[in-house]
Amino acid sequence: MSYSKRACRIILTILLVLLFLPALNNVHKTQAQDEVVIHLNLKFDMDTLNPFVYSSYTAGTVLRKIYESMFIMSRNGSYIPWLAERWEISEDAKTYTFYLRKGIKWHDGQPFTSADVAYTFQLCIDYNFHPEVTKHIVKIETPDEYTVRFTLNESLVTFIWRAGTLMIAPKHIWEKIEEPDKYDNPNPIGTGPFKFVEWVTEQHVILEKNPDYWQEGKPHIDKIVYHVMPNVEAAIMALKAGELDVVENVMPNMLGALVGIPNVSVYMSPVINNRWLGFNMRRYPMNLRLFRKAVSIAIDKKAILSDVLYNVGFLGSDGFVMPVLKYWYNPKAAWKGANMTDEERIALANQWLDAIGSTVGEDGVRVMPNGTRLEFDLLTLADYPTFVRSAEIIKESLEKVGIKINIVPLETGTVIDMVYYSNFDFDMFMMGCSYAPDPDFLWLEFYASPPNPAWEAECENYKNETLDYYLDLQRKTADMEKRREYIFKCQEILADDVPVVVLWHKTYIDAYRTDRFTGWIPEEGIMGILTLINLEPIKPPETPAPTSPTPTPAPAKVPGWVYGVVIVAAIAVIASLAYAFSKK
Amino acid sequence: MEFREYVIKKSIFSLITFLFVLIFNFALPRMMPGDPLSHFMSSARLTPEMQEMVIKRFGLDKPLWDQFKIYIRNVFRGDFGVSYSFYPQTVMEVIMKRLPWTLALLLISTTISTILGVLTGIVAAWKRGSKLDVGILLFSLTFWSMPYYWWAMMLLLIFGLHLGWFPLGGAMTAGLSHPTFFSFLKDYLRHAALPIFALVVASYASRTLIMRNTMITVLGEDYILVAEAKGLPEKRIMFSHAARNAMLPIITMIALNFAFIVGGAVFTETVFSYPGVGRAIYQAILHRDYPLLQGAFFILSITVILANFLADLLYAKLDPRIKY
Repeated sequence: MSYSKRACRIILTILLVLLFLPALNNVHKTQAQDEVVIHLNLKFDMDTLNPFVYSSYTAGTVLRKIYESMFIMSRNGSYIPWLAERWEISEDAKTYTFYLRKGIKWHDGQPFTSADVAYTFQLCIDYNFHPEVTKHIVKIETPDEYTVRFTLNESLVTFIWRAGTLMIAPKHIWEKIEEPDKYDNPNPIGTGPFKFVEWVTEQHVILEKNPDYWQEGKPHIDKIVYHVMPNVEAAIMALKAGELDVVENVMPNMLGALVGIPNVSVYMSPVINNRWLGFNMRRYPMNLRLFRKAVSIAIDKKAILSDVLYNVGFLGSDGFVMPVLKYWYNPKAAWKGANMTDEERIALANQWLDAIGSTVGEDGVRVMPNGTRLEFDLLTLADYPTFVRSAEIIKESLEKVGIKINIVPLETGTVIDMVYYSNFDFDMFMMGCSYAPDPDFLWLEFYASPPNPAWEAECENYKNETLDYYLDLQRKTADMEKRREYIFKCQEILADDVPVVVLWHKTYIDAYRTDRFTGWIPEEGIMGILTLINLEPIKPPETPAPTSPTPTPAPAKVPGWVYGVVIVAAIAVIASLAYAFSKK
Repeated sequence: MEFREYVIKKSIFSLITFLFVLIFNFALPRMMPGDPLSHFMSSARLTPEMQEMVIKRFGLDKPLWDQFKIYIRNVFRGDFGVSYSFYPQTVMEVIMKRLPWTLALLLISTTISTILGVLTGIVAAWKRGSKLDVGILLFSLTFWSMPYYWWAMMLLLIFGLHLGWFPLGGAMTAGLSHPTFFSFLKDYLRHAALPIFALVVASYASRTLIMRNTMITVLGEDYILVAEAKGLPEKRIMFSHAARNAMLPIITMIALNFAFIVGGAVFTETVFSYPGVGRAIYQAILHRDYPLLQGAFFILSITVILANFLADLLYAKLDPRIKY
C-alpha cells in the first residue's frame, strides 16, 4: 500500500505546484477601503496601451480616459472644447489654428504646451500613424506656448475634427522612445482625468483619479475598474448582483433580461452606424435606377425593425445620413415607405418594375424584356444573427413583387473579400459600418472620381458626377451653413439614385445602475469621458467599496425555479446513489 | 528488439511528425478563405492608406517563399513574430501571459476528473450489473448528456448570482493585494472553483465509461482467474492486476488531452470570463492573425507529440506484453 501513498503524495505535490502557477502573473497592489470605485465592463481585452497603434475598440475606451484631445466630438456631431479653448479655420479651409488651455499638467507634473501637440502630429507624420489626418499637413507652427497652427496642401474642412480628436501625447516622454510604432507603452502618461494603475491580461484594467486634473474638483470617482467579461449574460448577472455598474452595447434580444431589475436603467443610445443592402451595378438590371428604387420600397424595413431588432434602432434613411446627426440629417431623404401601407408600397414597387419592362413569369418570378430572370444571390453576414434574419425578411418582401432572392450566408471576412477586394463576382450583399459623427462618411462611401474611388462606389461601380461635385465641395467649405446645404443636396441625390438600401441605423442598448452614482449622461456614451468626470457617488465615501475580498452576496431573493432545478438535480443524485448502495 | 531501439524508433516517428507539423502550420492558416488584410481590425474595410500601412507593418507584400524562410528561422529561435491582433505584443508575450491560467485550470480539473473517473470506473466494472454499477452509469450519463454551455451558465446563475458564493467572472479580485500565500490561494480558488467544477463534470463521464469498459475486458483475462485461484485478496486483484492493465487507454486519452490542456477551453474561458489561451486563439482565427495562430498551434502540436512520445514509453514500462 506504500505504493498508493507515494502516488497520493506525488499528486498532491503536483496540485500544489499548479496552484502557484498563476502567481507568476499576479500584480500585488494595496487598496484602501474607503475609495469610491466604479466597475465597468470590457467585452474583450485591449491589444495595447499605445495610443498611436491600438486597433481594438476597448483600448480606445480606456485610453480616452488617460489621453485627451483638443476637443471632444459629441455623439450628435457638435464639438466640445477640451484641451483647446477655441479654434479658427481660414476662409480657404487650408489653415487651422488651435488656442490651447493654460495650466494643464501631464500626469508626471510637466506642463502641457503647444510643443506637445506639434510633436504628436510630427510623430504621426514620421511613422504614418493616422494617415487620413496627417497626409495633408505641410506645415506645423507653434507661434507661442499655447497656439498651434496647421497648414494643409489642399482645402479640407474635415481636418478640424480629425485633428481635434487625435489623442495628444507628451513630447518629453515619447521623444525618448526609439521605436514608437513598436512600443507597448506600459505606463501611459496623459493629461486625462484618470491615471493608469495596472492592466492584467484578460482580467482587468485599473485607473485612478488624477488629483491635479485641469477641470477643478473633477472627477469625483477615485478609481475605475474595467472587468474583461466576454460573456454578456454573465455581465448582466454581475450588473444585477451589483458587481458591475455598467454593461454597454447589449444585444436587442437580451433586452428582456434587463427590464425590471431594481436600480438599473436602460438607455437606447443611437450610434453613427448604418446597415445596408448593396447592388452590383455591373449586372443588368441592377444598373437601372427604377429597379433599385423598387427594391428599396418593396423591402419591409418596418418588419426588420420590429421583428429582428425589437424596435431598437431607426428606419434606414435613403439619404444614408442617420437622424441622430440632427444638424446634417435631411428629412426629405427619409425612406418613402415609412408613411405608406404595405399594399401601397407593393403597388408602387410593382408599378416601377412594370415600367422597366419586366413581366411576371409562370413561376411568379419577373422576367426582363431580354429574358433575364429577376433572381439574385444575396450575400449576408453569417456571423451576425441580425443580418441573417433580416435577409429572410428581404427575401419574403421581394418575393411579393416577383423578385427571387437566394440567401448566401458567409462569414464577414469572406463577404468583405468577395465584395471589396476580389473581381466583383456578386449580385447583392449586406454590409454595415460605423463612422465618426461627421457626414463626410458620404465621401468615404460614394465619391467615385480620382484619386481613388470610395468603397461603395468602387465595388458597386456607382458613379454620379453631380454627387461627386457636391461631395468634393462640402470638404472645401469652411462655412458650416453652406456645407450643410451641400450635404443635404448629396442626401437627395442618394435617395433618388438608391446605390444602397439603408436597412436600419443602429442603436446601442446600455444598462447602468442608478443606486451608486448620480450624474449619468447616457446620451454621450455610458462609459464616455463626459459621463465619468461628471459622476458622483450617492453613498457617503466612508462606505467600503465592494471590491473587498468577500463582496456582499447578491440579493437573497432566490426565484422559485432555481429551487426547482436544485431539487431535481439533488433528487437525481440521491436516487442514483441510493439505488447504487441499496441491497442487491 | 531492445528497449533502446524502441525508443529510437519512436523518436524518429516523433521527429517526422514534427516536420509535418512545421509545414502544415505554415500552410494551414494561409489556406483559409480570405486574406489577412481584409480581416485586419475586426473585419472592417480599410482605406487605401490604412491598407498600405498594414501591408508594410506586417511584411504581407513579401513572396510566400520568403515568408516561409523567415518562419523556419524564427521557429528555431522560439520567435513567432508580432501578433496582428494584439500588436505590438509579440506572439510569445500573448501566449505566455495566458498559459499559466490555462495550465493551472486544466491540469487541476484533468487530475481530479481522472482520479475520480478511474476509481469509479474500477468499482463499476468490479461490481458490474449491480445497482452500484447502474447508479454510476446513470449519474455519469446524466451529466455527460447535458449541453456544456447550458450547464456552465446554470452554475453561474445559481452559485454566482442567486447564492452569491462565487464571483461571476475573472480569475482574481481586481486590485486586491495578497499579503500571504493563503489569501492568494483563497482568492484564486474562489474564482477557479466554478470553472474547475464545470470542467470536471464535463470530462468525468468519458473517463469512467472508458475505464469501466477496458476493466471489464481485462477481468475476463486468464491471469485474473489465476490470481483469484491463488486466493489473493480482492483489493489486490482489483488494483494491482486488473486496474493497472486497464489504465493503458486512459494514458493515451490523457496524452491526447494535452492539446486541450495547452490550447485552453474556449467555452469555459468565455462563459466564466476566465483568462486563457483558448480565447486568444479564437480571436486569432477571427482576425487571420497568422503569427499568433502559428505560435499557438506550434506549441500545441509540440506538446501533443511530446506527450504521446512519453505515453509510448510509459506503455512499454507498464505493459510487459508490449512488443518492441
